[in-house]
Amino acid sequence: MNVAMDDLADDALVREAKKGSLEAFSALCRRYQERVYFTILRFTKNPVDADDLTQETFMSAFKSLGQFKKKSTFYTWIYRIAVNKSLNFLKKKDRERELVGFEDNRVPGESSPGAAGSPERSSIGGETAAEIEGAIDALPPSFKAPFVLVVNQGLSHREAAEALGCSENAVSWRMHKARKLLRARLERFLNGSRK
Amino acid sequence: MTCEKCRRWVSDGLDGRLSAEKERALLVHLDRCPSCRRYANDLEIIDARARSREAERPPAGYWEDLNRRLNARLADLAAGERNPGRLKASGMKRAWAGVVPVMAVFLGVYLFLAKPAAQPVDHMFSMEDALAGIYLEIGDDADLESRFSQSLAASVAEALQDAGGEGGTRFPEEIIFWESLTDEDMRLIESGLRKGTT
Repeated sequence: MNVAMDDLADDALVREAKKGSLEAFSALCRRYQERVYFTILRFTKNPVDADDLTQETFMSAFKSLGQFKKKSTFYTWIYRIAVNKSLNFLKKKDRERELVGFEDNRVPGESSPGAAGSPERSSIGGETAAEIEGAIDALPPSFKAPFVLVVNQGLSHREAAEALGCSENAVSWRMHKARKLLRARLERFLNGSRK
Repeated sequence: MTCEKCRRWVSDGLDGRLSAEKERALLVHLDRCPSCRRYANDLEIIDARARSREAERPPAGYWEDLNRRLNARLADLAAGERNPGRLKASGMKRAWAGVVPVMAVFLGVYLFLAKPAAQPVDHMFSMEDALAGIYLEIGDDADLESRFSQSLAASVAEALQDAGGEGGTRFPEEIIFWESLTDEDMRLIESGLRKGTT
């Protein structure tokens, strides 16, 4: 591990990487690989796919580093690549599913009785986590992406807007819609918690 | 404040995006509206649960291994980019493989049409004989000639594409580039030059 490189700020590392320093770019990878991996994992739900896409994200970033114009920060730029890769991956996967006639549109509340996360086994303090997980997964990608970035990755609306290539207002509106959808899907579990 | 507006602000508030003034107005509404209060409580529960959901942690040593694999791939990629001479040479070789026959055809056309009279035979222009059959076939057929020109332009475009980014800036220096332009292209360039000089 190159300690000197790890001490540099993103801007300085990007500048060095643009000049051809592999060590600088490697330091950026080390800095963000964990966050990128977990963001992608939220979409793919599969560690092997998350591993592949994390590598592809950094490879793409390295190839197009010359196009990075500092209009955004490096980490929102890398998030943007990661989210795009994840969404493209999911689209491709959906097309493949359609081709083989695979159906798995299970939504919370429709799970088989007694199964993990089913209403019989759920409570707000216990397995509702699985229901919430399922409800977030079932969100349309345009709502899921800002939700994951803001709630799970802790990005501000401005940062999420940069990462998603939309306005802050669009992020605010999508977050509002995402939460409304989640509440509607989870209402029966939330009602249980109020009783 | 309407309940719809309040709910939008509840969401913004959870993300720390409300001004103090809006927050005060929101609290006033929530104090009066049990339905929105319940909505706000539900959203807090969902957010808290969503934040606390733990993704499966990779095994020990995974991050070091991922970084090692990434470094190896980046080094391979960089090695290719650091040897641009080799890449450029192979790119140019491919481009010229396409350009040379096209150039030969141009020369043939030029020699056949513009200089129909007997010329001293030079070994450089021996391709004239090789292409003579094509031009004999074209003869006075304007349609055939036009299609031939189109195919020629397509070949040049293909060669340009094969040459890649670097080739793009080099080709205008090549006569073949200019010769492949149509009259309309030339008029556009001409008018562009005039605008640039006036």
